[in-house]
Amino acid sequence: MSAAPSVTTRTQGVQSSRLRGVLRSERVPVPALAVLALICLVMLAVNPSFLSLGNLSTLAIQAAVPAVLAVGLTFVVLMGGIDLSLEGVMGAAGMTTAVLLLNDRTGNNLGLWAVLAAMLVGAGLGALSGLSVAFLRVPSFIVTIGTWQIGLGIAQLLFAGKPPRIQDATFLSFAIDRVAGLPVLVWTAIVVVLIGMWIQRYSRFGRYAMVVGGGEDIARLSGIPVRRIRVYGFVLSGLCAGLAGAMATARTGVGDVGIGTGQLFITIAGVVIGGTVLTGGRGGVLHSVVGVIVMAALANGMVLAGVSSFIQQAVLGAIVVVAAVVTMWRLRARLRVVK
Amino acid sequence: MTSSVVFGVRNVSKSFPGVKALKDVSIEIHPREVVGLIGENGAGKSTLLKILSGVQRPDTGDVILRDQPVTFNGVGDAVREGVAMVYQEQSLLPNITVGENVLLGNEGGTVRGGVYRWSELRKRAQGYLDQVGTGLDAAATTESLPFAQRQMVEVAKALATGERTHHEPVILLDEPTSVLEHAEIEKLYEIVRELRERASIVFVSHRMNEVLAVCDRVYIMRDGEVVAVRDPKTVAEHELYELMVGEERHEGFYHEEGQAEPDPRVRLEISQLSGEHFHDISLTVARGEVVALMGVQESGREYLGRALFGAVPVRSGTVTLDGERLNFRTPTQAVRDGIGYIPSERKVDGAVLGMSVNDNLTLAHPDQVSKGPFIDPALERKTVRQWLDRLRVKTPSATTLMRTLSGGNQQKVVLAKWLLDPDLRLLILDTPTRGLDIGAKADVYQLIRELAGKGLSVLLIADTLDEGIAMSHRVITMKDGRITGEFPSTPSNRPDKADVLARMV
Amino acid sequence: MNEGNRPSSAHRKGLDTMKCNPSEPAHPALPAHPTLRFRGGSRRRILVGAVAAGALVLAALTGCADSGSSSAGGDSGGKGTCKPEDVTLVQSGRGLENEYYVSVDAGAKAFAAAKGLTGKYQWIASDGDSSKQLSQIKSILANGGECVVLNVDPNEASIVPSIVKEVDNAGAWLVTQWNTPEGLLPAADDPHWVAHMSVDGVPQGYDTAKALFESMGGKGSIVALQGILDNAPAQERFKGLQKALAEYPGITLLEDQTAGWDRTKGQDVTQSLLTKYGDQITGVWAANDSMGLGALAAINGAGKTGKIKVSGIDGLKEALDAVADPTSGYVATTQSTAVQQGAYGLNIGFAAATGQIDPSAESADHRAFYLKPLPVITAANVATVGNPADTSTLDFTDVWAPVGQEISQ
Repeated sequence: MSAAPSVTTRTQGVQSSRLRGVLRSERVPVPALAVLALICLVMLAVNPSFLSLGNLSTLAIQAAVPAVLAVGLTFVVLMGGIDLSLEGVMGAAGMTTAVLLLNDRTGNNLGLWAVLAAMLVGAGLGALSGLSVAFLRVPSFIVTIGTWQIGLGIAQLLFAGKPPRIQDATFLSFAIDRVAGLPVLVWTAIVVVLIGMWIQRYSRFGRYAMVVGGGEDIARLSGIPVRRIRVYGFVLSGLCAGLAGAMATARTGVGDVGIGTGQLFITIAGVVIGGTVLTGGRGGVLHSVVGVIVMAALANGMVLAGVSSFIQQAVLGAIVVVAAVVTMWRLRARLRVVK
Repeated sequence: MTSSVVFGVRNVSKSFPGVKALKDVSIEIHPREVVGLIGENGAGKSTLLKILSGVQRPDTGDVILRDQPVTFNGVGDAVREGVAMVYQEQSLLPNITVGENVLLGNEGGTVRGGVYRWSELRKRAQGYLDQVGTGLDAAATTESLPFAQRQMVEVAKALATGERTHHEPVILLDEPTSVLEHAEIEKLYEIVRELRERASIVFVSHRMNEVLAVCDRVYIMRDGEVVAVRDPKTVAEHELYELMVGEERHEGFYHEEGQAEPDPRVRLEISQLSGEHFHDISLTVARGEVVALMGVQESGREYLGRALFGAVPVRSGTVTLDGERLNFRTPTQAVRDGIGYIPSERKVDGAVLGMSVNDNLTLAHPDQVSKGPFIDPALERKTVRQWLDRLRVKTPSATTLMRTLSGGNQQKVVLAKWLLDPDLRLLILDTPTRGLDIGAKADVYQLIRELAGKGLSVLLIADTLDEGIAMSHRVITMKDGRITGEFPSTPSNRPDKADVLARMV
Repeated sequence: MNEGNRPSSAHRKGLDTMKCNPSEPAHPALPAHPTLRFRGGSRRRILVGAVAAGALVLAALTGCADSGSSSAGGDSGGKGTCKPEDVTLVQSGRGLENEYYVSVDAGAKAFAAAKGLTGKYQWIASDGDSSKQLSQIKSILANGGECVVLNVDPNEASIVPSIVKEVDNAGAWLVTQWNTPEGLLPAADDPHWVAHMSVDGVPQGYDTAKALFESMGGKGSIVALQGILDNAPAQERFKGLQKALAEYPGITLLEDQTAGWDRTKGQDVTQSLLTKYGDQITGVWAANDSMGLGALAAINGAGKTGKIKVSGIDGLKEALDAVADPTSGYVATTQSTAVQQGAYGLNIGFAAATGQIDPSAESADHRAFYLKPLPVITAANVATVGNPADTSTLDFTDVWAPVGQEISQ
């Protein structure tokens, strides 16, 4: 009698074509790109000027700040945490930039070192969050709400009742002068995104962030310094938020405590739509950035389509929910343990 | 064989609150040998393994590595010295590639200056994967792999970890076969035999025959002590068993004298039931009858069990319980109808690890320990204590967290949870004794006999052929989602194992 | 038993040897489980529901008790009887990260200084949180009693009734700014809600729109940036714009979008509108300066500085500077009323608390009024306008001097 009971095994689809491999591999944020393509198609019918070079560069400018935020936030989310302090950090960093550059209130004139200072302020606040989460074991949700308020507080201290107007022409030109068709601000964002993608794929920190998100216990058992990685993640997020604050300040030209208002929603929504799941371990920088571009495209598209102001916010929210469900649907099955 | 001790412990003791887990234990592993470690759950095997792998430190005594006492301050230290463990619970991350998993934390030269060199990493990982014979590509994603292949990757990972130092690695295998099926287990033996050329291996199991199949020497543990070491080639299994349980408990293992004639009244009647994994199922279970459902992995028997509990949808067909037609939509309704279900994946589906033993026990039927709308603490304590004693659950107290219990004891608590309901009419058991030690198994069998004797109907999805045949009044075989055979089974006339197997495959 | 051609399941062998032996000793009898009556599984759910309901009832009762017991202050008739030095002055607003509120605070502080009450002045920030504002007011009233004077900018209209109730119970004195629910104004027989002050948005919108259209030569197309759409000022100002549009047939309103009072949003929306309409746009009307300045940045970014005219409202310092700069394209804004609202609000409340006035005897237009409208600021008169936070021109002698038009709802 033939012995062995039939045991079914399912091997990885080695025979599938490379394209299917890429599409399935989760390295490319397919659903988010599909949503983006859909938006472009719809706008093509409604108002083709959406795809004009002028509007595309406007879109790029509007997506630049959230994209930079998303790069930093992605690593925190990959590790299964969340950073709600973005707006506060942006405020603190923005004010720092404003008072350190040539402005009409203080006597400083540090030039571009001000941007570095802003990033350091961000990194400092990020370190505060990270150390609390990693060593004091306070949930990131709570810690970063606190850091958010600390950031706003610092911004308010620097604000001291009177908004400093930036007079450093070089700095202000970053938002306006174009290099190869796009302002320096956009190029900065592009560079940051590329660096973020590199970190995720090639650096030990990036890979370990994925690992920590995939299974903290297992990571620890494999000898990975989980706590250290967590701190680095928040520092990076703070660094990016600091840079974003400086960038946003370049656009407005004035120190504003509320420079980050509304960015949290756009960034988190972008991260989720892109496929960087809030439970951690999936997605990545490219995913989040595509998601952020989707958000910017939606906001821009609605204005171009003449959608009534009254319902724009609701429409944005509804689309985020739908897009998030679509993105997560694909992952639902994958999240089960295969025996 | 040289007498140098590649790895081992000398006179180690370890206590936890309320439990003395290890008492003056010494074991030695010599180079290039496979050492087996057997014992019931609670014998101290897992604690010893934790000390060997660096997760815990002994209270007294030494860990010996290459003839020198050594201290591991955590798994990282052990791993760095080339001691690798293949875990019973999967330790692979689903969201990274197989290659990354194999070299996790051990990337070595493939990550230089914090920068990953992917082609090198892939090559190196592939080397280990091929050594273990997995047939997998290092770039494959981990999460779509079936269990058995993941186990192989874990072995590859252990091998990679073991080769960190220029010494030969030490590999610890913790119950590696508990999730594998026949052919895969054979494969594992081959791998172990091959690895023996290059490494020293500790093989822990409670399945004696496996340990006997591959080990050069076997340590037997009982109640926190090493009671003997034997050579598998010369020892009698009977003797090993006795050493393990310490008493002549092998007799009456299945308590077959407790098998009474079932009531002629039919309790459960299934008629042409179909769902995604089973088709056209018709069978009956009488009151007080134990029916064993036998089948191999894809036979659909587990799905049938879950469907009867409302956990899996049914497409067509009817189910009646004591004459009432049942509509299965949710497990909550099934519980109200007096149906209990014990899943095979206890940790995932049966036990709430973060809650206490007490809470787990009363989870399904809090009404049994309530007076009015509130839980009566005195009644709860008494009931819980009775059940813990009855099932001989080893736990410091009823308020300890579930996750601190050994696997077998957890399963007993899960069992007690359902048995708490006096109106239980049908109990569906999905391989209830898998992972339990012999003593625990015997206790469970005794309990099933008793309950059947009192009129409970039992549908047993048996772990082994022996269990199914010995425990049941009838054996029903399934294959590819359909019923393929039925064998009556009485103590004096048990069906032939080969016949039953023939209907399964 | 035929052990023949079985699969080499070695693990089976072990169990075979554990076969039972009929002569094994019986196990000791196991205890029977106690018999219990059957209970439904929804027991726990009912329990939770009962506790929740009980908690709600308790909370409601406590809430009632709270407001009931704080009537210690009682209704002390129409006039206040506080001595000036016993009065506590409180100013409540959104937060000091906003220039407007910095000026409000400056005005309030100036009043306190004028009455020698600097040490008894408090600023409380609501941070846009209505419940926070309410609880702050409650705790101040609990501490201060009937000689507290509150000048409150309610975060939203719907909390005004609650604030009034608290003040009534404590016997203190309230002046509100800007927001109040439709149809609700200080009642003739309730002296404790002394007055409600606001600024009429319609003339603000109208005047700035007119100035904008004039600077465009009465011809062209504009886009409008609105505030948060359900805010009364946003609606009033937009009404003013529409009134002006009716008078200027040469001007077309291409589109209006909300930018939520926010500067960055104003910039983004303007950018998008510039893309949409290109050279058609020759003017931008903004419901406040923040959005207007954001629009200005967008225009600069598009390289159209000076070609597109912009108007705003609120009189922020930066806007004033832009108006003063003829090349900027920013042509009009309004004078800030922040200082007046802070100072004169407290002045009125203080007068009531010290018995100088009897609110229930005052005319309706003293109880609810718009501040006297101030002329719009354009390049012509910007030089005469001082710093928005300048408190030097405040005059507290006539309590009702700032009263403009009565608010009728």
